[in-house]
Amino acid sequence: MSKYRVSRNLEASFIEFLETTLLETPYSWNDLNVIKGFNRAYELPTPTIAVRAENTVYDKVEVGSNSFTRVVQIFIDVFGSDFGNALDLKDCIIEILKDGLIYNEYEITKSVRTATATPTPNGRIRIQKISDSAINFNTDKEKLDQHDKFRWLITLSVSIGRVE
Amino acid sequence: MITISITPKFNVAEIYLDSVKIPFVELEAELTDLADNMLSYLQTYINSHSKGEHTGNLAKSMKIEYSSQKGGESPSMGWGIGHMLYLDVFAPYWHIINYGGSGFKGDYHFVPGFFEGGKFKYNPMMAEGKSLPSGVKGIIKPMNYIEESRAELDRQIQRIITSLKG
Repeated sequence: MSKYRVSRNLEASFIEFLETTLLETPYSWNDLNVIKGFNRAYELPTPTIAVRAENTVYDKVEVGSNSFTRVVQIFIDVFGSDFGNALDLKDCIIEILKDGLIYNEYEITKSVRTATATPTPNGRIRIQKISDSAINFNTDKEKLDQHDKFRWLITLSVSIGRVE
Repeated sequence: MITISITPKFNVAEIYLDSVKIPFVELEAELTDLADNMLSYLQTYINSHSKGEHTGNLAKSMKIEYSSQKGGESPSMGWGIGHMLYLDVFAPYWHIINYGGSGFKGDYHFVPGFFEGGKFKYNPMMAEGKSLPSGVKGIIKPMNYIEESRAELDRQIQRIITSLKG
């Protein structure tokens, strides 16, 4: 049995929360893929949401202390099936994430062919900053891969408010 | 009988000092230093996150542009790093490196300008120009140097304001 560390717990918590909430009422998105990473989005049909935990900043709790709090940048790439779809999807994501979400710690149980991640809620993820931007490549849309035609990037700064 | 007269007379610099409590000159000096530090940060970030052999062209194409108004009642200062029109010419793949994506196979990037003395001169106002290959193929993983630099800029501005306020 193994355990995810903080960054992977964050990614998995986001993926699970987005997947559950976006498929449920009142959002009820159909045929939506929520994945970790980036490259795999190009193997799946749109609409797809890809979640990545990237750069982390560690702030000292106080002068002379070896304890830190971390602020992690979470990138959410939205690959829409058309312009309106991407716009609606990114607005839904911001709406459901702005109040924060439950921070889960995951325990992995591996068998011969499968691995199961079991979440245990342990705190809350606070959203410190949100920004979003449309991604428009300066080129003819016809020449673009379907996944790059209607894209959006949501950038979040998040903290679990824990001294490490 | 009461007569009220309103005279719109104020000094923006005084209002700024009263509300923000930071002398503009000190803030300006700190922000000017920050421009150089941010350029260095951005270039280091791009170079350290570039994979495989690379020319360093994207990092080198990042330049600071200043926009300041000294003195008067409303002094201002501003700067930016990475002019999009300039990058479109000298590092046309800046966008896909930042945001990632599937490369444009066989695509060419139009650059407005003209040739003079064997060298190409960039002129954004011209309808004529030349086509440059985009030079990227396959799926490019996003580097997000813009978003990372923006987060670093926020942290540095917060640090400056905290230190100047004492």
